[in-house]
Amino acid sequence: MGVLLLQSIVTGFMMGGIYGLVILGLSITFGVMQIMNFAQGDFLMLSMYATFFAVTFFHADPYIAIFIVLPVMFLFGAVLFRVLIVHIVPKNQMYQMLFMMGLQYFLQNLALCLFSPDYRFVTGVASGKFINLGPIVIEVSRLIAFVVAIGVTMLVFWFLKSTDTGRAIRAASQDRDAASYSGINVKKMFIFAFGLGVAVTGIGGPLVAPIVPMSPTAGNNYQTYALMAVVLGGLGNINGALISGFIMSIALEIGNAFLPGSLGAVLPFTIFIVVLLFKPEGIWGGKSR
Amino acid sequence: MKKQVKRLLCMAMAAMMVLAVGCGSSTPQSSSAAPSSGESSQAASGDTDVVKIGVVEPLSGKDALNGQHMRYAFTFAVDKINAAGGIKSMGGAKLELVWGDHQSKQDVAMSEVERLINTENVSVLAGAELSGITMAATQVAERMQVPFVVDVPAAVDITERGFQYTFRTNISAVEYANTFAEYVNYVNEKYDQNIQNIAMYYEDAEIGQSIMKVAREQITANNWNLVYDQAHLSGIQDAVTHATKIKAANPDALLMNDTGADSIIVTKGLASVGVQPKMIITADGGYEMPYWKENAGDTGNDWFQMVQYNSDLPGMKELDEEFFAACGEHLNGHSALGIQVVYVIKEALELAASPDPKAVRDALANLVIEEGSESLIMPWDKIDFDEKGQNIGAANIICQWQGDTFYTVYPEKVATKEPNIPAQYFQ
Repeated sequence: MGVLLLQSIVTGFMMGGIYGLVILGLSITFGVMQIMNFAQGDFLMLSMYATFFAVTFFHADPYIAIFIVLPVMFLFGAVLFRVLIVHIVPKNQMYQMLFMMGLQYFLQNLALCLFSPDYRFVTGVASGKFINLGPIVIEVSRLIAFVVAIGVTMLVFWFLKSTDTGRAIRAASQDRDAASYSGINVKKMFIFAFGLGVAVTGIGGPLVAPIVPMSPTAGNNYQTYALMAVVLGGLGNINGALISGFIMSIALEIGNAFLPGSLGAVLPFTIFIVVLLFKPEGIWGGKSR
Repeated sequence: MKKQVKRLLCMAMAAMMVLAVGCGSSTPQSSSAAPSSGESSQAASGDTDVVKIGVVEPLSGKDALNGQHMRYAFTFAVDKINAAGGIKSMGGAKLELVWGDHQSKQDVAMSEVERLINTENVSVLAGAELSGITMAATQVAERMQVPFVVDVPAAVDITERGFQYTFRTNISAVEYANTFAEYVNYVNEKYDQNIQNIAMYYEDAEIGQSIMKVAREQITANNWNLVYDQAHLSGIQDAVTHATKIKAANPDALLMNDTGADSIIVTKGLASVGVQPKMIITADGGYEMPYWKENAGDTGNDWFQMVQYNSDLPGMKELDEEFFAACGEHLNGHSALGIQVVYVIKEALELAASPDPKAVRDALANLVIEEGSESLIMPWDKIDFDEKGQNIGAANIICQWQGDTFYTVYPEKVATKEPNIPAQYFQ
């Protein structure tokens, strides 16, 4: 019983790193331009497929493919913003929400058309390998995904805090007009920020592809929990959102381990509902970024 | 006011974009009638030249791959039957397929069935590859009193509604549980395995639940011990935790049912903890698919699978060669069943000697195709529909992966190899 609990926590904790990448991408987009991206999970799905093609055409290991997928996803995000998303930035929230939901359907069905519903998978250098820490089993691919995800998250934090571009992005998100008066090209920052948000989530693709088979709807699972984590953590609070991501993923693993059938997901959802009943602004909500 | 109108318009357009992407337009494919081979078609009144079969399959959408396979299968069988002289009791009438694309959507399936009946005047329907879709499509057929021959779906409820116009050629899912019990008794007897402790691990979906319900009854009836019984979330991301519990339960036999990606995740989970029962046996779903063994590689060795078709079955090699020559694809379980359905319809039409749907329905109800008939494609004793419309002759075979080859190991009369038992898993 204790072993089972520990195993659930360990596995859930490692998956929390991947959810964190989706949450981070969501938070950047929401933080900078106040758009809640319902299609963020689908960016993860697209980067999984990008990994598949990079691996197939270049015969690269998926972890090497990161260097191909990353710039591709960044460009994709930047272009998507410049061509499409920029037009909804000044619109009201309902409009933006509908638009992003529509984008979600569009991307999933596009993937369905282009890639077929067949499951695809890639194998990496770590596939099929497990580490045993006493009675606990750790899949090496998940461990690698966790470590890289944490590293990327820390890198993004550093970037936003310490580099000029990062500071410019934060300025543009805090106050568009003031940033613009300070000489920051707000439009450019938005493009960059959106590209960054997509790229950050996009790194998840090569990390997750060796773990779970990919399909056009692979992003939905991540999207649901990432959105919940963002709300649970308090909209706008990145740290809170990331921690909530871990709470959600660990709760899901524990739920699946101990509750029968499909009831496992009840645990994270119950936590979500209960917290919001008592603190609607989220656990850490009300505080500034 | 102008701004509000603009806003409303944009929201309406966004909603329509969502709807447009979600629903496709159905593009019904026209029939693939074989050209008349010069046989005389009686001009006398009451005789027909052509009998229309309406087929609903997922020709587009997420199950399009399977749908296209069924398209090849039905076309192949119809061409073969027409070339051999068509329906003799109807003066050599030819079969003509009329297609409906249900796109894996229930509402589209239902409207397609209505179209096939009302506009195309089909004598009989067939389909639909997916359980949920078939449930809906057969409802329409029942209401409009046109017989529907079900090809692949094994969901129990399809034949539990008291319908008179639904005929299912393939097994009902509960048959997996019966085959499992039969096989355990068989290996206990023949190979002295003493399998007593059974573990069940399965997807929390309708098929999984209905198979395992009957499996529980079989376990009780045979005085075995159920040491583990767990349904897991559909779309499970990680099975290590459950695999740990399975290992701790130390079963002699592990019975499983999973679809698609779950089968891959579960296999990984089991491999990671190294469960070691005498027999891992699966029912239906993802394990049968080529991507499962591709992905599992060596970790899939010695797995037993309950299926309806294998390429090493008697007569299948020749049929596969013909099929491949006709359409460039190899047979699989689904296409084999599709071909069987067409032959069932052919025999029913021969018996009915009429294209009237009610006559065809009665013919199906009374039909018996015995072993040895050219129209019996599957490795069954017979085809005979009971009062629920279930073919009581349908049965499973059991195959085992030995290395990279999938051998039929049971029943003995069609087996091509002895099973590796007790099996050596995850070496």
